[in-house]
Amino acid sequence: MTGAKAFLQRTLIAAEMQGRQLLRRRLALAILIALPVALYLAMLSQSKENAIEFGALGMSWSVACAALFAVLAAREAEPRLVLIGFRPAELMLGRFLLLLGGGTAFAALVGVAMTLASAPVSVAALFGSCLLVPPIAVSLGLAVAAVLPHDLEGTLVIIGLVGIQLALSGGAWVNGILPMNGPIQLAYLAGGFPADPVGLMLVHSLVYVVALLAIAAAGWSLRVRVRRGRPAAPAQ
Amino acid sequence: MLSAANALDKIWSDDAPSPEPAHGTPVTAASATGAGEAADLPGRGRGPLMAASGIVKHYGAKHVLDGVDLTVHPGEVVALVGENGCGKSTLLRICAGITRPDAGRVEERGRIGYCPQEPGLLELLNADEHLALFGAAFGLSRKEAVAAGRQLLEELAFPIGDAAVSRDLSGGTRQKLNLALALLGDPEVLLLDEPYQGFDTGSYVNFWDHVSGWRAAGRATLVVTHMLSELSRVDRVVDLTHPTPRPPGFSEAGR
Repeated sequence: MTGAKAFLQRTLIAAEMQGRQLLRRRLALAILIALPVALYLAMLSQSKENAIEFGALGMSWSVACAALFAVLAAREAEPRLVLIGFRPAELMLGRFLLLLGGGTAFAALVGVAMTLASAPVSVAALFGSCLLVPPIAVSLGLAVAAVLPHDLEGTLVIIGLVGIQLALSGGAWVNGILPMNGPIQLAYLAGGFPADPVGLMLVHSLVYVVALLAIAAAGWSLRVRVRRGRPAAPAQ
Repeated sequence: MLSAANALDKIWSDDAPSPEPAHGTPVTAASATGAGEAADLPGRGRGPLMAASGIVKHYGAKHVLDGVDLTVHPGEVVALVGENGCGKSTLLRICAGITRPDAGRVEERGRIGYCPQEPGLLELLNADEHLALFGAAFGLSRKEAVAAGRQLLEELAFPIGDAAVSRDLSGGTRQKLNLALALLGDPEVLLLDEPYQGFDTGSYVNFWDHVSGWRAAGRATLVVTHMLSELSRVDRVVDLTHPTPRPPGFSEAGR
């Protein structure tokens, strides 16, 4: 088997097994879906324009926490998998692809629901906001898991990062340095509020995704790496 | 390519049959390199499959391992014993490459099969899914991995075809899966950390029979155990408990 084919086979089976585990956490999945829906509906009763921002931030929480717990559930098994031949990159990429796919499907559904309920000024901006959430949130969850691989601590960091953004007004400069600023600015745009330029937000989001994935890959590779010595010399 | 049929077959097929254990008396030293080694084990002339030298490990201020040396040859079964907290599991993890020593080096030849004390399983995958995932590491197709793994599981009296995810299995059954995953891929070096925990009596006896089979097949087996009654079935015993003071000039490898 060629190296590329083996890489692909291992990445795909890592993604498949990640998906199987995620689908079996039915209660957790239900809560992850309910959280952004509840946030959105709660705000919808006050302002259908602002509700888009809440929906996007709720999805950020859900997707980032799903990524965090996906990593933590495998923290005992993955060093064994690396020991016998998996590369950390294959495990990480498989997980990223699975979560990105699942998160994007979820975001698209939420986008359709919010389009119908909020009647946005810009449908494109609303979908842009929704579809930017999964890559950033998955990367955020993976990076937090790599740096802080503990359930409570990791969850609190994600709650903090997304929660600060939820508490800020649109013009606050702090928004600009937080990971979910791209989707939030697009949500403002969709609701008819002033927002930063779209191009700038896309670049902001791309930089965050790349940086967070780099942290996740480096951190997790260090945690699961296997230290190999030189081969023991055969007897003379 | 691994097949179900050769999962437990000989690695060194041209070696002599397994000898009787060289001795079964615990060696009260941190390392038993060269101490009481059997001379006529299968594949012995090929040198060690694994050699750890000068291993030092601290956890904070606590010295867990202090210059431990350890070798394991083909066809040799080495038992790692010692009181709780003396570093048996840590040494095994270092030998596997999963934990980094503060000093020292591990060299190995051949593939390692590592069975941790706490089953490193994925809670929401069943046995066949574990086999497919772990088998992919060796380039096995799903079918090949499941076939080879099921044979190993069958030998360990695992309920084949049980679709329960690992978190719903009993402790002993989980441990059988844990052990089978370590054996998948035909490793030359086996690092087993109390692999029989939770086993019923029949499975426990069966485990030590397998150990004899691995010796005969030329595998190098390092097993952490508290079962002193079984030490007669190993070739060498390494006691990691801190040794009693030795007279000046006493030469003892590893300390």
